[in-house]
Amino acid sequence: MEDNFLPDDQLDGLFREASDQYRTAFDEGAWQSMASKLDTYQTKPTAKPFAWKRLSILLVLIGFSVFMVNYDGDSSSKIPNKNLSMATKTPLNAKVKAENAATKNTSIKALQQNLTTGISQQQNTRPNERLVVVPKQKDRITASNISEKETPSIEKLLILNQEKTIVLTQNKLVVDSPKTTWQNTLKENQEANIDESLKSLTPLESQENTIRPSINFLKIKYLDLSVALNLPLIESPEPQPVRATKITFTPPRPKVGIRLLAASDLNSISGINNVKAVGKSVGVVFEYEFMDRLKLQTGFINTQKDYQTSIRDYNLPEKVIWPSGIKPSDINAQSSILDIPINIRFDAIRHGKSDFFINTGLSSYLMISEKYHFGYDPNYGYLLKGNMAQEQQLYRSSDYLFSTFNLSVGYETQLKYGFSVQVEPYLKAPLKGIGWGNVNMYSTGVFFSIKHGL
Amino acid sequence: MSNPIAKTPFSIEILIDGCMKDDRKCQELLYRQFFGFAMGVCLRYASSKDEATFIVNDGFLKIFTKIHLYEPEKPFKAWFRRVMVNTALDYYRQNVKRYYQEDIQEQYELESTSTADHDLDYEQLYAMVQRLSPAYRTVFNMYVIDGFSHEEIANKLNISIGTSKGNLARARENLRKMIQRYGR
Repeated sequence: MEDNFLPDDQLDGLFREASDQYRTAFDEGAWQSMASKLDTYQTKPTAKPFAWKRLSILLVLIGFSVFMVNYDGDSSSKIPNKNLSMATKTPLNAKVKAENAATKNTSIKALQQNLTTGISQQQNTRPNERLVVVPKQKDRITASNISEKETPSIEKLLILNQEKTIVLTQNKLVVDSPKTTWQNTLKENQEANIDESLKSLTPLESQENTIRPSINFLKIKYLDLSVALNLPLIESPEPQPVRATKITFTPPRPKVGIRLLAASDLNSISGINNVKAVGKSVGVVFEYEFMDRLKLQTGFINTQKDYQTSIRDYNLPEKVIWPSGIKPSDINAQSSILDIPINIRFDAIRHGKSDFFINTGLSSYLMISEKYHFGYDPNYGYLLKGNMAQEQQLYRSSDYLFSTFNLSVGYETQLKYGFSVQVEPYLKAPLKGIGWGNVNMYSTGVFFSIKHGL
Repeated sequence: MSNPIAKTPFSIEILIDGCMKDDRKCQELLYRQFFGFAMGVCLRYASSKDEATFIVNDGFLKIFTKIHLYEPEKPFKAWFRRVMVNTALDYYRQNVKRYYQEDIQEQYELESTSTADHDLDYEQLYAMVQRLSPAYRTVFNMYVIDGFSHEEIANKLNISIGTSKGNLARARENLRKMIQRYGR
């Protein structure tokens, strides 16, 4: 009955005509909504990702160049040349010659030899007294007695016992008490007069039995007589060779440094155990020691974060527009992120040239680019044969200030003054979701870095 | 029907070229020119104007982001229509579970939406199509308006050919009932 009322052909024709003729008025609000969508999808990149790689390479090259310029090779091989240079050029040496070279040199040699003899005897008789060879350190002693421009070097640190220490440099010998650092003693003794000190000493006679250190002593100055006169000087017909033993010595650390770092980044979503892929990080970090053992750090770290995860790990808005029109089952993401950390580092343990530290702070993530490849259920395969997109890429979509918590521990050791290497395992935990999918991204890894103190 | 873009001096080729360069003005002009046409397609597949607008913007986003895939030697309008239809079908597939709940309530809605107007216009015909259950509506639009075969419909909606034919028959039956009510 109803088919007779309106046959299929007539019914279909009625609706086809309606479809051909029907138009709706333009809706300005619809365009505004469209424009906002386009703003999200068509944001242009402000910086190419490759620019950061080039910048990182450039910084590494600069750091290497600075290292090579400052590198002075094996210090021990240069000592004789320096001694020769000082002996011939230093004005004090000429002055000594002009005044009373013979008398003074005799006194100096006698004192030097007898002190050394006493030291060697103490080595034989008292096990807690040691002769220590320490590395040359620049800029710790002002060689005002030689030249304002010359920088002397400490070549031997003789520790007689717990009460006394002798520092032998190329240019001077200083007896010190560990209650104050030997550097401070040097400063305190700068007013001392070598001539008066030497006059009050009686040269010892057992010069043949002394051990001459390999250091070329030019002169003795700044001698603390109150300590030197108390040295136990015991003659020995058969002096034994002095055995060197290392002691803990804490060299100075630069207060300002620039650090180049690289790491392999293990990325996981919604938990550190669920590692999805390995990324990489390179960057530069500046640090400043604003208090003893406390350093403020900041810098730029370009991080490539790759991860593949289920669609369930994404915190997406309710009405998301999928490029292919079909909700994917999983997403493979590649994100290039500029990590700007602000951290506080505490050097918990300082042992010789080594530091063990803990580092914590917050990072801001600036999204440079995001690329998502959508994976679909195989049942939808036939639907994707057309031109529908299965990828989407965003550039500089958004920034996430203080979105990540940083925690790391590490070990740093100085190769030489001003240059150190460092290894630093780290954890970056999300404080809020990042990226187009608002994912909670965890990152773990190990930073390897070189640092140049400024 | 106002169509402000009809007065635009830009040809469709210029607009397409501008859209390929992500020129926002060209995108807006193209949007204005084809908005009515796009709504005509999407309203048939949607159950409301808001839903149709959402599908239209979704389709335009695909047009703008994938316009480099358009082959200039073929009619732009046909390509545009295909993208819009596919977008509407995608939307249907994403919401098919929600639509199933609406299908249960369909009978009540059919009984309660009749009016006393005896003159059918295009808008009323569209309203009738929108009042169909999503499954019936989609098959009816695909077969009658957009020219898909039952085999294509079965493949795209992941249903059997028999289901497609059955849905089409029931869609026609429901439309006849609605038209008859208008005529009373």
